[in-house]
Amino acid sequence: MFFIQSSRPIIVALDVGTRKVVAAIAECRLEEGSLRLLGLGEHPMYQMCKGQILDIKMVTQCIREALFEAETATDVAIREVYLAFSNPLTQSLNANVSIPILSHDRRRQNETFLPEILPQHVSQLNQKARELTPPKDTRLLHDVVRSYYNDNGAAVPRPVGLNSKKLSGAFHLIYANELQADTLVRAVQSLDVEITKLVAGTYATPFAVLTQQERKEGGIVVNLGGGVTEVSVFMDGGMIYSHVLGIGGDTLTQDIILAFKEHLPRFPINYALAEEIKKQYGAAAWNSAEEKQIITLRNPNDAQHTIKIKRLPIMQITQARMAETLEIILDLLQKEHFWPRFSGPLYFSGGSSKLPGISELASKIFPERIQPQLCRPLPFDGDQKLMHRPELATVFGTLAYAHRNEMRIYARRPLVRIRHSLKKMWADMKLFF
Amino acid sequence: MIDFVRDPHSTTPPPPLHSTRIVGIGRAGVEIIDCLQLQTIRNKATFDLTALDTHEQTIKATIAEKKHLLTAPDVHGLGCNGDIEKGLSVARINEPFLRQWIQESETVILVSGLAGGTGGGFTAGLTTIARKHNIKTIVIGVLPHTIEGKKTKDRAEKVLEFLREYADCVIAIPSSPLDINTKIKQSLEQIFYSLDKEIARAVEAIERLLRPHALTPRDFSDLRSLFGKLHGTTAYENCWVGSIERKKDEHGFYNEDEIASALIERPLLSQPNLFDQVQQGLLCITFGGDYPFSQQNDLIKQIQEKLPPAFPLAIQIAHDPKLPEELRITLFLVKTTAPLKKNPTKTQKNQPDPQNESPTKKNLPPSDTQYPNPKNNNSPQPSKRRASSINPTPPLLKQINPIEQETFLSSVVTNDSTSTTLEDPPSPTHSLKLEQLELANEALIGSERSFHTYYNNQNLDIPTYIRRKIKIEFTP
Repeated sequence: MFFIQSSRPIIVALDVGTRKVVAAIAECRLEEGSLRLLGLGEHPMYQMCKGQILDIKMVTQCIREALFEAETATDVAIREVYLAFSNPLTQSLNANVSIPILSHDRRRQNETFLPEILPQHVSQLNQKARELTPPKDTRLLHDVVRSYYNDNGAAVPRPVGLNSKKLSGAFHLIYANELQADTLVRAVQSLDVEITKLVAGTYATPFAVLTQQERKEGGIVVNLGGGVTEVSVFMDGGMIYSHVLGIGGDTLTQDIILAFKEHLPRFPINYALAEEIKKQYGAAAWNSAEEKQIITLRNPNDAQHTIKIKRLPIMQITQARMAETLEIILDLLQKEHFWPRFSGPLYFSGGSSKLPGISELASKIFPERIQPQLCRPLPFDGDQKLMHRPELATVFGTLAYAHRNEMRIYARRPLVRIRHSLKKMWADMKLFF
Repeated sequence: MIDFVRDPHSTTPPPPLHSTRIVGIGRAGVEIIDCLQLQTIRNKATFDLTALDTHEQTIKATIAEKKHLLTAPDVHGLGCNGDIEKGLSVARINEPFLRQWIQESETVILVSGLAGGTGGGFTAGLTTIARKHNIKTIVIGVLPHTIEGKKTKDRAEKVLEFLREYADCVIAIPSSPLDINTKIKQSLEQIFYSLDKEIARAVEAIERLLRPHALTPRDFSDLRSLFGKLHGTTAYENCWVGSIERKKDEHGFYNEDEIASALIERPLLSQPNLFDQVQQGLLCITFGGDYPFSQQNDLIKQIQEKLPPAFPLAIQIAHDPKLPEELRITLFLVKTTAPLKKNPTKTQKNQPDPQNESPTKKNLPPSDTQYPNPKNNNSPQPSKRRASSINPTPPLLKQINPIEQETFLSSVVTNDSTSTTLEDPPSPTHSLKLEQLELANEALIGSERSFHTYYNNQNLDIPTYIRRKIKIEFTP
């Protein structure tokens, strides 16, 4: 949400996940170019499975609760949001597009002609990339330009003004499943909230995790969410790969439930207890002391009834699932042409990244040139406690993306800039008198 | 880049029409569904399983392939708390969803604890909706334990009264005999767990019974015939179930005598004077691998020897290619609490009041859920949609006591006398359709897997420790 008329330009990011929905509200300081987090609202999500909506009424209700909580916490009326979502039906592809720079594009009297790249050529190239045939039942969500190239094949970050016979661009295109996206948009719009932009989770999360330099030079973000796992790779100046896997933290919990139902059928396990067991006793790597640990579990229906079990099988279950997830990610990346020359950090974000030993496990699976680590605190002003929660990476990333988007709009509109300066001057004058 | 994302909306063909859908309702029903799902995960069977409940924790904790939290304004994901009216209202509120969902199947097997608010009330509501849309409904209900009190028992009786009118077949399984017969002292939770396992087997047997291409095929009319409604009675049935599974010994044979004894000694079947109460039985045998006819015959003989002489027993044998070298046997013993009558005109009495029916039903083609007498030429013809699934096999009661050693394969099929009921003495010579002696093909039964994730042909929704065969041991 962006109140141009308001004295406080506000941005709202809404992340609709499989297990929870989060709305974050931030103040955009246009002159300084910074962002200040005002607060957020969270609510558990029901009737969503792997990012797909099963019951629109229930999902709408959950979104309403989260927005209401955010409004209450910040005293801001939400009218527009940047909506982040991800599901396994999101698809992406890399495309190289080029256009010729023709001689009749620029004619000067009495001057020697040389073909020159103009702003309209860049727009034409971008438009050509957008018009590529999308996969079936999808629509374009993001067209990310990694780099432009001149006729010699040299990467040129700013092509306008250069002499070249050809302009090429390397694009990463992200497509959302039309049906899924429309269902979600309808759910949000039914609450009288407009959607400024629909953002793919794979694109948004790295904004909160990777630095600008890492986004250019190279970095991997693995967002281990509740229902899905998102993989984003940045290299050669921009995004080069993104993928959504239909397994997440919820799958870990379901594995624990199933193991209990199979091996301890007389102990009544419920979802809340399984979730608790996963958080407390699950691990991706462990030491010998933890291996021998015996844990006591309380029957959720009968406080007097307790059982003693080994911790090891719980760790084995969580490790097996997590190792498989990482192996699949590695397998997917190995199929890509950029992988042999990639080296850089790998950051884990999302709720499941809190599983102990995940970095150790990843360092065993991935080659040495990849440095697995947990994502770092994010560079926002505001409540710093919230910054250390990896499960909020997507919503913060959406805020950062929205901030960048709004700053671009702001830079392109001089009248808006002048109005803001006048308002600020008026406010200062009022204080002075 | 994208090579394994499954898109249920665009890349896969529309899901096939399920012949039989098993639905667990309420906590008891969902627990039974979980027992069946474990078999599916271990690749021992293929079922179309759905869990429905009003309690959020139950739905979240179930491992069922498909699950749905039933919502209503006054429920809040906390269950119906034994309030049948609340359960009924949940069904009423969710009717649009249920209507759409139920029409994808031809037969639904509803499994529930009849005393619960959701298990009782919602089951009754769903049965009514199924009836409106001519979907065959089999309700397998668990009756409450005696220690649960009179109120609970009354509640279950009330639900049963309703189901008698609207369900096509009701199988009520009592839970009380279990603790009486078990020699080991067990907690109530353990008793219910044992019961869940037994009922899961019963559901499995009924589901297999309704599948086509068994060695001795049965169909829905057989089941209804067994449970009393085919000939116009509104009999409410009580049922005792026992099931066992056995593997071959080191010589590659099954010990038939031991199997028969173990089956009869199952907790629910070992109640004293049980055979004074029951009137008929159904034996469902499923095997994987090889199991010659002669050995099947021996096994049936051994089981019949353990039963009272001339006890009416119908037999279903099916081969399951997914099953390893294993034998699964389920025995139902049935008591009919209302007398069975021959008069087919009674059928009309059981139909719901046409004035109370939805207008959509009037437009529907007549179907075999109206229980026509097969002899009656004026009876409505089955609809085209079900024509493929209806087996022309005569009702089960005609095939009572079918197995005799010499005549097992040489008997002549008689299809004409389908009006035989329990009141007729069981025929000493029995019939078997030789032309239908073919192996069951499990692959014909489709299942919807729209939300599963696959990678390198592996279903990632199955836990990794199972697929990678990691042995886990919880007990210290």
